[in-house]
Amino acid sequence: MNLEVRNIACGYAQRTVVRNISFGLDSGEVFSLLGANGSGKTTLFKAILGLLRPSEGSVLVDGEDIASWSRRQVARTFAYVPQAHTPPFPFSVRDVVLMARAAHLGIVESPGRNDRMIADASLETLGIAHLADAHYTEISGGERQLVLIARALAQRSHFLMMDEPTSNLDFGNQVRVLRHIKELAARGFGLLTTTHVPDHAFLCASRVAVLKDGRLLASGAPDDVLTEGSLGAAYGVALRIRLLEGGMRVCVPEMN
Amino acid sequence: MAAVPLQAKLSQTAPERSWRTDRSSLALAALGAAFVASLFGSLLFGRYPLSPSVWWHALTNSASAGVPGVVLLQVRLPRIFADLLIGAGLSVSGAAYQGLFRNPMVSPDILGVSAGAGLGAAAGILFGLDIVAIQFLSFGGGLLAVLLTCALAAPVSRRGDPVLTLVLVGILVGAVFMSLISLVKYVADTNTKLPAITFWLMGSMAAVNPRDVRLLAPIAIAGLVPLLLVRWRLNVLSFGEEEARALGIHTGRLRWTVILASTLLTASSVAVAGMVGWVGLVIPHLARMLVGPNYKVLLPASLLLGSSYLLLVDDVARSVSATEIPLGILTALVGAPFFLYLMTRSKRGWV
Repeated sequence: MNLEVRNIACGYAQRTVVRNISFGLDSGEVFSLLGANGSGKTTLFKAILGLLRPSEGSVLVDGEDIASWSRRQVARTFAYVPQAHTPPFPFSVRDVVLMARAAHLGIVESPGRNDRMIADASLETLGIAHLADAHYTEISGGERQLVLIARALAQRSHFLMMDEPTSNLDFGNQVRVLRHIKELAARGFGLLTTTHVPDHAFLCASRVAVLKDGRLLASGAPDDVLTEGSLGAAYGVALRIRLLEGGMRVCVPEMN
Repeated sequence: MAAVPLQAKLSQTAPERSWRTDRSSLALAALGAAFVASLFGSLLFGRYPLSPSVWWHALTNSASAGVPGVVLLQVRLPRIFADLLIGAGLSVSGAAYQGLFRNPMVSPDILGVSAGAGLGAAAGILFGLDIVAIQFLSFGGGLLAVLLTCALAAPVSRRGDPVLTLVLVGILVGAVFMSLISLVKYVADTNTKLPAITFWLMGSMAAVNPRDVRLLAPIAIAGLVPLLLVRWRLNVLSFGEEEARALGIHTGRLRWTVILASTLLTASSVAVAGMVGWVGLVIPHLARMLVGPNYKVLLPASLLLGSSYLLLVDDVARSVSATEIPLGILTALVGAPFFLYLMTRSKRGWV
């Protein structure tokens, strides 16, 4: 499947936050969006998910404009992975994952056996089947992030939209989440992620875009786009990009 | 198109039912038993004790039943039905609101419905209307207050979180209606009408008659059925507006359904019994402690528990002394300390 964002402008009542945004994403790809705080990453996410109506442009899935789609239809195509959060009630992990089935159930239906199987399989894919009966409010932040990814899988959508999936995680959990991201792309999902860490984009993105003040500064392959120039401009700090043995790139700030 | 993964990974055998599912169905069954016990207990208890044989005689042969028959069919039975419906209604709407507003401190009158219904009744008493008119005025006042809250919140919520806006506007509308109640009390005749208004606002089942139940029952059912039908989706709603929408929920429609149903339940209960506080706040908490937060189980559990609770408290209200203790006083007297107890022993923050 193909996602195409075509010349989108979007924002709130009086303020346009992002404009002239165009890019595409195919199944099996990881697309990473970088940009400073307030550069419009979240707004762009909301526009694609249909949570905000774009004032210009359109979001196309396999060429079809999704503006007229129902919430259910959007949810069956895009699964949103928010940053790990704490709901007001101590739901079990399985219950949280089962909420993904809302888009597949009628308004008076509740999850049945098949849905529970899908939820348990999703937990297993993320390697957290043992947490199924734990309270979502009592597990660690890293585990919560994995549960939210499992929930997105149980939604059976084609595209996963992850909003800073590695923020607030310890180093080990960051790496684990990045590995899952690569693996899910290999399984055929299209992943759209935002990140604050250029190294994470180097590690797992097949394509990247840099957002500055609501406009796309550059987009394309990570090695071409994530340069000292573009990243320096996006974040307003001096930095260096170094090539490690094995061809991997890392981004390090200059502390003058 | 990408092959959607995972299907292959599904095991062919059904997953075993978790201990959690077993535990909550067990708790639900226990609540059902408690409900039946408190229902039958309430039939027998009272200032005028009725043995099962008297009951049987009165039910099968009401014409010749005499005093027990009158006590039973005209006084006790309607009152028990009212307890049952109002306990269920307040608890279920409280539980639903706590999910909708994502806050376990929310009670069914958060949008001003009780204050509105109270004002309607107070005004009815002030103008010396008959009881039916007072009840209709009260019910209408409750609906009006919520309508006002929603109408005032609509333009504001376009620029922010619709749920938070509703709560804030609801508190304002409630405060205005409360001060209007004070105004009505201030101008009311201090010898006749002021006591009537004050007593009515305390909440009591003492005056409930068969006609009240006939009016209350259809409205209560009209409120309970939709909430029970959509109850699983309330889980998703408690994750917040945007997340619920991203999960495929049409949040606007669901929100109005919950608000309308809860308003019917609370307004009709205030119209019949006055302000019976704390039930809609405490019972959902207790139910959540027993069966967990999943609305699939929580809502039926709240219904059973709320009914049983109000039946038992009303048993106390009508039998403990020669003069009745207003129900609203008892529910607050029992509810507030009990709530504190729940808070102190809850291990998971807001259970």
